[in-house]
Amino acid sequence: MDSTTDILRARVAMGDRPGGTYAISLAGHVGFVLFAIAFPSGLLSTEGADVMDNVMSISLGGPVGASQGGQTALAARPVQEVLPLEEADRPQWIQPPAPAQPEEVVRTPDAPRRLESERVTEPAPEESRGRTPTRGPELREGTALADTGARGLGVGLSGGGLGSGGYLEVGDFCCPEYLGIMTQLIRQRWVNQQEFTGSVMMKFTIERDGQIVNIARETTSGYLALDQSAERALRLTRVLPPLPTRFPEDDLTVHLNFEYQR
Amino acid sequence: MRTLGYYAIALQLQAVGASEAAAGGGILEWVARSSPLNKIVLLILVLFSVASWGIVLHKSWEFRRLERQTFSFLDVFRRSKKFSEVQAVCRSLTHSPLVGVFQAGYAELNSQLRPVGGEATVALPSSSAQPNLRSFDALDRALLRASSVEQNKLEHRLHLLATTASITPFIGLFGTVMGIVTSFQEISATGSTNLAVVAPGIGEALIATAAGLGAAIPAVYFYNHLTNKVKLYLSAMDDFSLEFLNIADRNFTS
Repeated sequence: MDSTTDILRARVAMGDRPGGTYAISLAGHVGFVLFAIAFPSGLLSTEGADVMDNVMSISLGGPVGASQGGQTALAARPVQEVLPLEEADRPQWIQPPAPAQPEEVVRTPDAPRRLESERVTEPAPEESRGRTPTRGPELREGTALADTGARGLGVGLSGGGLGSGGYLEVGDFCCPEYLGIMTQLIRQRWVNQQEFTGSVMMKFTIERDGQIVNIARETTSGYLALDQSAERALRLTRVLPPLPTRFPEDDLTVHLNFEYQR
Repeated sequence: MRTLGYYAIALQLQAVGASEAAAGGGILEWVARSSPLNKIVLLILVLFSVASWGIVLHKSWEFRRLERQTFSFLDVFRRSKKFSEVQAVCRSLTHSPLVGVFQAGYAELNSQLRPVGGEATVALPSSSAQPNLRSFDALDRALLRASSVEQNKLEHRLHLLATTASITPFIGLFGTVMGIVTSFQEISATGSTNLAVVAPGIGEALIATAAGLGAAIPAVYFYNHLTNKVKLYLSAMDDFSLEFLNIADRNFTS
């Protein structure tokens, strides 16, 4: 017999006898069972849990609130309502980040001060100027005239907001843009769609601070309703923007013609 | 409405009281009340658990001792001048797998170098009259055989851990399913679906699954842990075999 084989056989026969560890394992399991017997509710105990808490969370109804005993309503309104579709889909503006705070600079009294006149400001190069983005060829207004039925506003005053329903008499007033604002504000409070047609000439005075005073009817339309509607528009407007600084006078008297349509 | 709400609360309290009364105080009472089949399942699971924990304890202690002896053996082997000195130490370090490998290699060396009718003393490194090794491959094969034997010894009984990890959850599940079947039979017999009637039966059934998992989880962990240790020893044996072959090649081949 080969001696190597003998040695290997002896090694195999040496084996291991885990009988002792089996006994220890069995004793451990018995100990676990005894522990479970000694403390029947020790491992999986639910004692100490507040049963009333669990019960109070289940209810058949009632309004929400602590005064109602914590009851929740069965058919209550949802806590969070879904936003309307158009509200939800409306794009939200992205706010730009706030500008950084300028760094604090400690003044050094000894530092030489530069006079404003010493500063040399060079103009920016032409390439650095931004270009307005375009969307194709520029459209220019033509010179052709078309009769739209609109009537002018006295001495060369165009538009004004009263459309075909108003006629303005302002003499040689310096600031036509102010008149545009004025007519727009009055028109917002004037109902020009009435049962009758006609025109009412109103006279009023705008003071330096924009207040409308001395409202008077110069010509009547023949219908009391139309006259009162024009006067009501002026009284409801009550205050206009202050007169332009370019206007030298303290007040401005305006003759405004209200034309009614059906 | 409030009256209705309090009525519901009163009903809940009554049900909780009934289920606690049915619980009776612990899982052991549930086990005692469970069906014979469930008890058999639990017994099988307990046996598996006892066996697997026994193996875990045994292997853990064995590997600890084995690690200590392997360290001592390698220390002696690398400091000795003669294989006979190492062989003398091996008698006190029998549990190390490297000792088995060394003894097999040493026996093979002796059988090849021994003159007919006498015994040779194999000496490390240089010797004035160097004996010659007849078959280097035979020495390699002897070391391989020894490694294989030691590997089998290391892996002995580990398969039971793998078996426990694999089948105990299924055994527990089987017990649970059978317990739930029994519960449904009781429901049909009593005609009541009250939770206080149904819950104990389902609870008893679920104990089997819990026991199965309780046996399987440590078995899985320790199987992986011990298998990893076996791999480390296999690597150490390969390393030692090559070292032994190198020494033999240097000293006993011309």
